[in-house]
Amino acid sequence: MLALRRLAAAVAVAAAVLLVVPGLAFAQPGEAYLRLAHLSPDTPQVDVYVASVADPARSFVVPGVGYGAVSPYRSLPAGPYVVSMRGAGAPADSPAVISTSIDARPGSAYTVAGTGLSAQLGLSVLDDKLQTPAAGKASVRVINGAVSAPAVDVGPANAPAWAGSVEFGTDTSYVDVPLGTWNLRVSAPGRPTVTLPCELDANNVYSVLLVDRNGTLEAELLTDSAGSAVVPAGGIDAGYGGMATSPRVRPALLVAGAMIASVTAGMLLSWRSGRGEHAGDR
Amino acid sequence: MPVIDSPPRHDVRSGPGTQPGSGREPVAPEPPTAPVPLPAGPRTWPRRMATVGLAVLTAAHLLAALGYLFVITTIPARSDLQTGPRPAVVGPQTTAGPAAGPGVVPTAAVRATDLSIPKLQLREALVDLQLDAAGVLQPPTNPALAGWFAGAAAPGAVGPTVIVGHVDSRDGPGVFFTIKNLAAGDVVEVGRSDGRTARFRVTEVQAFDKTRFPTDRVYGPTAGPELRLITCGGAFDAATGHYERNVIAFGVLADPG
Repeated sequence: MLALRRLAAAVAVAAAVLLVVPGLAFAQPGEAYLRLAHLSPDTPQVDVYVASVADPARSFVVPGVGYGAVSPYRSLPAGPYVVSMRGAGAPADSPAVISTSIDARPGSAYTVAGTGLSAQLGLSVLDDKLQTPAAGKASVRVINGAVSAPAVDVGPANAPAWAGSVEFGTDTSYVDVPLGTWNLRVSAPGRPTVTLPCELDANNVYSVLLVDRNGTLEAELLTDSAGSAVVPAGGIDAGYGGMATSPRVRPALLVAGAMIASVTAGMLLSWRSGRGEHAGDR
Repeated sequence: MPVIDSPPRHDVRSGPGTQPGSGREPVAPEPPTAPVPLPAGPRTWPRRMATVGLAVLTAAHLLAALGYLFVITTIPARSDLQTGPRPAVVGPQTTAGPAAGPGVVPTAAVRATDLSIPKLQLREALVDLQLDAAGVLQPPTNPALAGWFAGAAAPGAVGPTVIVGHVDSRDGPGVFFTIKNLAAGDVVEVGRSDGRTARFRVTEVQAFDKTRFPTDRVYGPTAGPELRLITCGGAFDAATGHYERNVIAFGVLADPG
């Protein structure tokens, strides 16, 4: 019976291998994007420290970031990070002026921005959109880092605003807008209207960033993310079947099953006949 | 706008022996051993019947083994893919100029020209992909060719660069047969019509049912230059003549240096 048990175990292993191998597990996703912005008008240049909680080797420092600057995105492993600002040139072990934690999820993008006046300096974590805008649209939001414009409206001329009364130190959610060339009007009470010429492309996501430069309100268009201009429908048929696993694996399974069954039956038979022989010898 | 200036990061590269052992045979059950004497018991079967049964089973074994051999040998070996005059190692163009890295700023006229995957010893020129009337992306007709979709991003530009190749032909491996062997950390280089090269790092390889194709993940907005290598996988449906899944390798622009 021991032999049979061994055989049963071997059969179980073989069956498991045959069944599991074709459905190989793939690696899990785990990439996120992060960019940094300094939007506090009266805060001097800072060094921004991004510390990875999971893997300190992935930590980095962005030195000398001044008001109005937005870094390019950087791809990072998803996971928890601590973002800290120190005065430019301050020792790395000195107390941070401000810090915040962020749990970067896979497939997400974030803007971590120093916002508000320095007396109330805050670090805001903005969720940047990575979803496809509605068909034939682009997505736009407004980030107001201009203290001279405590509330702004942004939109095309002679049309309803895309974003209204955006307060200093805040950002709007994204809105889907028509594509094409625009002269966006940025208006704030008591301030001259600023015009922002821009080209909005299909499936792209933008931020209109407002900052004060040399006493005047300035508007800048940031491309947060870009999608395929043309989005094909559905999946792709990219195989003719010559290497298909099914014709290869199914006969293998059948053959293995037949062999296992016949071996089992054979052993049973020989066992029984063996017993018979012994009985006959008596 | 300051540029992020930081020390190079460490790529997660898969070491040797980490890729799935596609050529490995499954563990076979223990071979049948010679009949061993077993405890005595009452006679239940005539000896002749047992002998006949064993003979029949042996014949069945032989037939089964022959059938299995037939199935295996009529399928071309995967080493077919590696024959031919393809160079085994990528040329030095990625380090020759300032092209690689996030500084790449392509114009609309920039196109993808060739694909190189050192781990798979794959180096191919790229053709242009087309959509059919229904808006479905068509792979190159020739299963030995890979193609680039000009409707998506140019390699190195922010957005998804989409490259498609067949997993197989009717009787052998296609250009993307080994895409499933890619793993996080593997490097994929895409040459551009301006002579520069975009160097990507694979982040994930995953299979999706075509009925639930992740359109947003493949074609949707990305915050940096990204890569999608797409081929087929899963079960082959002989009735439709198509595989049921798409295997997609996702990548992000590799760190400079």
